[in-house]
Amino acid sequence: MKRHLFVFGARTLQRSIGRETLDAVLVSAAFDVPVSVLFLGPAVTALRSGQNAGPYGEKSMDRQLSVLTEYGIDQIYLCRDALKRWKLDPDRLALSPKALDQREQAALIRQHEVVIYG
Amino acid sequence: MTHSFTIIVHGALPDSRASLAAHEFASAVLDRGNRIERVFFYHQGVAIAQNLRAVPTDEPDDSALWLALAQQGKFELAVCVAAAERRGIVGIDEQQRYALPSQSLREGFTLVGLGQLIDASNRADRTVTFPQAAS
Repeated sequence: MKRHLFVFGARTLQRSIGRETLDAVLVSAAFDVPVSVLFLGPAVTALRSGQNAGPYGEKSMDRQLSVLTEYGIDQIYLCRDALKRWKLDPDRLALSPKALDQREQAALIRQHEVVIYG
Repeated sequence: MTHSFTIIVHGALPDSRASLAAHEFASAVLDRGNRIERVFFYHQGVAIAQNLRAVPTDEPDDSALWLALAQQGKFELAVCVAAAERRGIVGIDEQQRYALPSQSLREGFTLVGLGQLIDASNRADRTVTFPQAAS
């Protein structure tokens, strides 16, 4: 099985797109594909802990993402610059992601045979 | 040396030109003697399989373009069934399952699960994504 990296970019903040990208990650894991996840740009805000549910009762993104742990997915990364830009507290993030600078992100991408953008 | 490609398309006309950009890429792939493993329409890209779209005569019909290319290159036009159902694109099976008034899947497109995306990306030499904003 090829190693897959799923990239959560800005558009994954749209609830339906984020949900569908998450589904693809979970299906990959269910097929025993080695999976990593990288959050870039404003998508890092999806990892903020303690988000409110949507106005119509939709699950918050951090709660949706918590299912990654249940599938044994622990290779979770985010952009260090985006973390600063969106003023997120590293101690208040869901899933304990590892922050990477741009050089490390490039290395991460090179380590994966398949890169899928959400 | 030839390569095989899996192409993922996240947008379709009229909201995105991703389907056209991907089509241009796929044409070049075939022109150079390479092979397309599967094209997978995902997110809003599933709109390409909507049978009830009326395309203005002075605009490209991305759906027809892909159908012609798939016939030429002998590859599958796969559409994510979950993303399609959310957007009102259903085949006969889904119509019956959800008791919907009609089906809306254009002939030549196939509704598949996400497992088909993973299978195709594992088998292809290269996987290329065309996000919705592609122009």
